[in-house]
Amino acid sequence: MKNPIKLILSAIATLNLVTACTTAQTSEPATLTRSDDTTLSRVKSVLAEAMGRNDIRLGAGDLTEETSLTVLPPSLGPLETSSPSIPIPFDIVTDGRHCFVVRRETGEKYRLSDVNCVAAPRAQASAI
Amino acid sequence: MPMNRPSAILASAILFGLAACGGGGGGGGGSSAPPAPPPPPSPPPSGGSGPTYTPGVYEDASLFKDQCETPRTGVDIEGNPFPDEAGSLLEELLWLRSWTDETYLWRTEVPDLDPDNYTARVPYFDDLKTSAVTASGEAKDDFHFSEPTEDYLAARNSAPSPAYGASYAILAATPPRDVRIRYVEPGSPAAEIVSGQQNLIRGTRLLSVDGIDIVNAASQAAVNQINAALFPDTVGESHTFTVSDPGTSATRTVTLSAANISRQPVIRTSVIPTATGDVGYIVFNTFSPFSSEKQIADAMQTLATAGVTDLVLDLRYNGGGLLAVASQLSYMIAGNSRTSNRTFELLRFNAAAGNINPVTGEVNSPIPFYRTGLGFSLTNGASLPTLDLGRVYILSTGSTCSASEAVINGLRGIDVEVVLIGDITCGKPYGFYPQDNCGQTYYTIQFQGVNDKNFGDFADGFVPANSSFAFGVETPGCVVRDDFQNQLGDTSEALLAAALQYRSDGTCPALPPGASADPSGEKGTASAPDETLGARLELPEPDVLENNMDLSMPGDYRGRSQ
Repeated sequence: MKNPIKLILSAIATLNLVTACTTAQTSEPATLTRSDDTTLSRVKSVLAEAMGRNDIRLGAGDLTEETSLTVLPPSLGPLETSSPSIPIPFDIVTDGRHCFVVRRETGEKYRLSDVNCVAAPRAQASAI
Repeated sequence: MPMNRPSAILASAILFGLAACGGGGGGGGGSSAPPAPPPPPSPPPSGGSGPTYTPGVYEDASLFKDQCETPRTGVDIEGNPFPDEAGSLLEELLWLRSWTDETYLWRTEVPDLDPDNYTARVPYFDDLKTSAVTASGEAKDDFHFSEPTEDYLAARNSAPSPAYGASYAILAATPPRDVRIRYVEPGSPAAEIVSGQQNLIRGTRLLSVDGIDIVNAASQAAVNQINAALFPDTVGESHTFTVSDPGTSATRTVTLSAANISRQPVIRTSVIPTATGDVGYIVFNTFSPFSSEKQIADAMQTLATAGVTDLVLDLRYNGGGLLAVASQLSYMIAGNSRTSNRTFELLRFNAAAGNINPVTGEVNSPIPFYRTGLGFSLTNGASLPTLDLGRVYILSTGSTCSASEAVINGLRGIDVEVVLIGDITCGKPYGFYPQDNCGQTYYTIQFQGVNDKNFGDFADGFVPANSSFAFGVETPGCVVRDDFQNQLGDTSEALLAAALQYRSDGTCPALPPGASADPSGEKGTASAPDETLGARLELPEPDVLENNMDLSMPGDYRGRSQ
């Protein structure tokens, strides 16, 4: 294992494992208790921080029914005809006290301040 | 000094770990900023007070990013702060040079241009591309352009826009002009029924507007007025047209009032009964709006429920858009077994990038055949219907472009037979990530899409097998002229009729002797427009109902000739 790339990949894998375990052991899938404008505004504010951009639009889905959400990419310009853009999925989870969104592709976890949620029934949870 | 590659990866890993573990403290600190792209060769030691051009040496583009001759301040129309810092024209040019070297698909074919020979950024960018040509003799890269970022952001945030909901075809741009309706958007002013007559239908010819003769007006001023009437600026703007419908010489008068129009990706879904089973037919005009995901899935569900045994997919006016929706569509056509563990499309970047996307810095993973909704307009994870077909009939013209061609190529990559009916496609296997720097958004070709068989060389388009074109990727099917005499979905309409004929007995209809499939007269045997007869009528770029990469007229193959 003298190859520095291999060492780094190993470090990444270890970090990922630690993070994944932490998330898995303390969080369970959840749905929001409300999806009114105020709640969605709070969710979008957190997602704006997560995405590093101001304009956040959510994809299809009722957050009081679904345990995940998607952040839409920016709309395509008229000349973008082969765009690899896809929505970014986040899972909604709770540790029993607070609600979070977890960016599915990276495991990054963000607390949803002043947003209420409830653990999802097992059937919904299995979708994650 | 840029980080070397292992350092960059390690830093990313550490940041990733910290961000991921720190989320409980009120929002987390994670950023979506991608890790740094692969670095160029090491730069020489800096000895002066500012950057300098050294032939053959490309410093990391990030060193020059946002170092602007004229920095912007404040936020853009999306609310994001401008990242600009005080810099110089030289830094902007050096950024272009290094960014091109890092991300341009054909980076080794770009000349090393001395910035000192340029006094503006756009001319410098314009020269930073390959000068090679394709087999047809056309420029290998004719998708290289830029525009003010203000315009780029305005365009992508502009929908819906004032329009009548009609898409135009200019079959003759100079007198005697021939301007027809290609299709109308459902529910739009153009589709409105007045006194039992739809305002405009496919094939309707526009003869005059507000008393100006569209057919024969010679002056540029008149053409400007015609264009202004065809493309209204404001909602409620009203103009009166004299028109004639296909199959009749009678004229009628139509007054249209502009409304805010959003493009409808799917404008027709139908089931065509035949002696050998029901055939599904879908007119799918764009992959661009996020609503395209749901609309095409709904259409496919309709056909799946009806139990069709074949599909005619009408992509003749589909200029592309989201590759992910193209993947979903391909999955819905081919079904589970044909697509399992197969690649829809791999984005092939320049060789120096290795398996890293040099734009995002992420690992370059293949685009699979997506089997579920992705969250554009369908719920993420929702199952998609399938038709499970081993063959599909695709209707095409020169406006069939980009993501539409990705469907053709992606399906061919898993041995689904694609029968092409119509004409050679536009030939754009390439794509880019628009990139702002200092107020200008640059488009440079950064990837080529290749299918599961690693094939993506269709820069001259896909062409029906009986075509006289000496180039293009030959595909089973028939050359057929676009037919403005019949409505889309009418089994008498030439392309659809040819698809049904080919399905029935494997034969093609005869093309009139000497005729090109191109109705616009822009290529082939037709004569070129004679501008001595009057000013040329051209659609603004782009037509609000046309999202075509190369901004060409129907059947205009970027100047290629047979």
